[in-house]
Amino acid sequence: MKALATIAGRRAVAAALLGFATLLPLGAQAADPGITDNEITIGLFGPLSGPLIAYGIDPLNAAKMLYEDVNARGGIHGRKVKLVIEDDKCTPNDLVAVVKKLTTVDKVFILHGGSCTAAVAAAQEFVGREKMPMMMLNAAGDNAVFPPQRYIFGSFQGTQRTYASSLTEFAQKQLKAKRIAVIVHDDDYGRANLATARAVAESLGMQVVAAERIPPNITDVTAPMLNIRAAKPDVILSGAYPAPAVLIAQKYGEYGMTDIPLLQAAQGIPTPSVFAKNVGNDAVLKNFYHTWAFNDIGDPALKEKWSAMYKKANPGREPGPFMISGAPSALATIAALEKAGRNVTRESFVAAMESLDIKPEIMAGPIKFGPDRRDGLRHMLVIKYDGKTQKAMPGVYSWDGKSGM
Amino acid sequence: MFGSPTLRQLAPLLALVLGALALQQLLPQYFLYVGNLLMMYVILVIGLDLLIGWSGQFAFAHIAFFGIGIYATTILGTRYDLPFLIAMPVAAMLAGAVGFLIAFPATRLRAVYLALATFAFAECAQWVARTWDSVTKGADGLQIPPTSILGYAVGNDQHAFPVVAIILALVLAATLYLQRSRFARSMSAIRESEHVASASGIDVKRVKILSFTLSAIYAGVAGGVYTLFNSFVNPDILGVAQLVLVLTMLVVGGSGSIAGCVLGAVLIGILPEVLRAAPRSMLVWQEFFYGLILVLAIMFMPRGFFGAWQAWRDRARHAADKRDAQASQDTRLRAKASTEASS
Repeated sequence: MKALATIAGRRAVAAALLGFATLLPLGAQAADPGITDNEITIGLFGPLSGPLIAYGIDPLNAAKMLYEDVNARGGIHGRKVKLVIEDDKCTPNDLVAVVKKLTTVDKVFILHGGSCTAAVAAAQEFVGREKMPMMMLNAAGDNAVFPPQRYIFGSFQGTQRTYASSLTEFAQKQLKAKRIAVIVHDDDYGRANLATARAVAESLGMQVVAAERIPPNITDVTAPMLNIRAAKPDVILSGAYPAPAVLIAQKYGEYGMTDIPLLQAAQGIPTPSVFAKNVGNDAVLKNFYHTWAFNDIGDPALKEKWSAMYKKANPGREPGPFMISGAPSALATIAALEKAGRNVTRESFVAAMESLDIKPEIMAGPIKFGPDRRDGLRHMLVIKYDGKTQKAMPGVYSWDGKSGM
Repeated sequence: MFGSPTLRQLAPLLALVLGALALQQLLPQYFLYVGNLLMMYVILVIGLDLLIGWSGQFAFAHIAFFGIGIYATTILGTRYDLPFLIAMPVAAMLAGAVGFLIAFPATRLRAVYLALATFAFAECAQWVARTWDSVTKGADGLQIPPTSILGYAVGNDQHAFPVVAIILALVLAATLYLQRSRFARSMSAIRESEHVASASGIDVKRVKILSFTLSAIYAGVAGGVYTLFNSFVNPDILGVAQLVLVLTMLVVGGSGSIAGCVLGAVLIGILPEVLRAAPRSMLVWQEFFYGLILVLAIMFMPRGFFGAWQAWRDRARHAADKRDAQASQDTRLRAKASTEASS
């Protein structure tokens, strides 16, 4: 009490009260779980076991690497990023369990994960109900982002609509094609791919002369490839997955169709060298192209830079082909957290994501969202691959956000 | 084991419901979600056990009936505005009706042929779910809206938890009654020998068809339960991975007993959640551990964990009986000897 009686003592108490008062807004904004004065907790997840592990482990490591890099540079507005990592196995049940665990038990601030669209779609209702922002790690399927859900941001490497639109535009602009044949799966990927290819072809004055829909587990593509050959297309667009993509390329070679360019969406050629080996004859690939969302193929120095970063962060582990696909979602999340400022809340983070428009050097185009837009990337490169080397073709191709909807 | 179940057997079911009501307020949604999932699996596994464990019919169409239950409950609720209390039983009956139709050709087949034919049906069901866009929304999947039961909104795991517990309790009670029926004895007789069963006056074909139908109804109920705590379904749920999971639960827990089904569903169902605590480098070994557990269970516990426990308990009882008999014989001999000595 003696201290209060002195002027210095009163000043000290006033300063303490003032300091406390300035902290009040921080206390108020810290109402959202998973954020303290020094830390932001992010729930990071992907398939770390099971048959789809290749889609998750390297992308998740890449995202982790970027968060660790931010921490090494002092964090985001003075807060370090703390990660809680979980395995979602790419199945709806597991992903929903993970999302619920991270939200209600670990109480993370935001979610960052999901490498498979159907599994992400299963969590949509929960994250919407809990108002929990969720950035998809590298899942890119259309039905996780169309129609847009307020709290889910994804497709950082393009949707099927972007793939189909880019390939069709490339076929018209670079290959001067007028007649296209499309071969896609009879699922949501295929449906989005085909609808967009048709719409873009029509807008560019091209004609879809054959449209073949095949099941994802098809083991023989003789009939659809014969139909395509009979239609005499100028180019063939394929939206097939890895195994059917190999069958298509083999049959395309077997039927002597290699003078017709074969344009493949990125999901069919996850590892180009493995694809070429499975096709078994590089001569078949003399007119082969595929989409790619990243600038690393056209810029070896950039590729080496990312590869070295990854190896430094993950000693003893070579980066797989999907590694880079984990980067854009982490870059966007970091950018939005920085944009939202020190007083970030889940809602202000969503607002920051909604107004995000960044162009990381590794990406083919800008990552951009909006009030009615939840697919991040609408630009794509086309790569020519002859079984040995990959070469980026001139130009960047895009989807207008409307075609095929 | 005939007649009505005893109060002692039914009491745990009441405890299940009361426990669910208490835990509903205490546990975070994640644990309640896992609890809901496990209870759903128990219903699904018991349904499969009726066919495999009780009747000895190696049929693998169970997941198709489960899918019918999910899709039918959802569609009846969303398109026809039927309340859950009507939609779910109708969906279960629909699954049962399909099971009844499948049973006619299936009962003419045995062993591996039956397994293959029913597996083919399951594949067809998945194909239908994938391609019948106008009804199932195909591969895009179907959103399952929250439902309500007599004015009680079931909008999240917390709300669903006691409802799922009540449905499970009712299913377990029904199964306890069924276990004590003449029909259950007929199924067991068919499992042991169709010829002997037939010679004993059992209508083998009728019992097989009925067990197919009942099994499908259980799977349909499990499908209805799924819609209470999930908001999305796509054709992947009808895949072979789900079938293998449910079969593993049955084999590991122990077929032919309700307790075995519960044990298997809980052990295998909770394993992925327990393994979340494992170091990241160990996660990739999960499939290996699943396979190892299955192989070891088949090799060393052909009747599953519950069967192994029963065998151990029987051996222990037998040993104790033997010890008691020996002890009483020793006592008699000593008494006799002392009587002789005193005389």
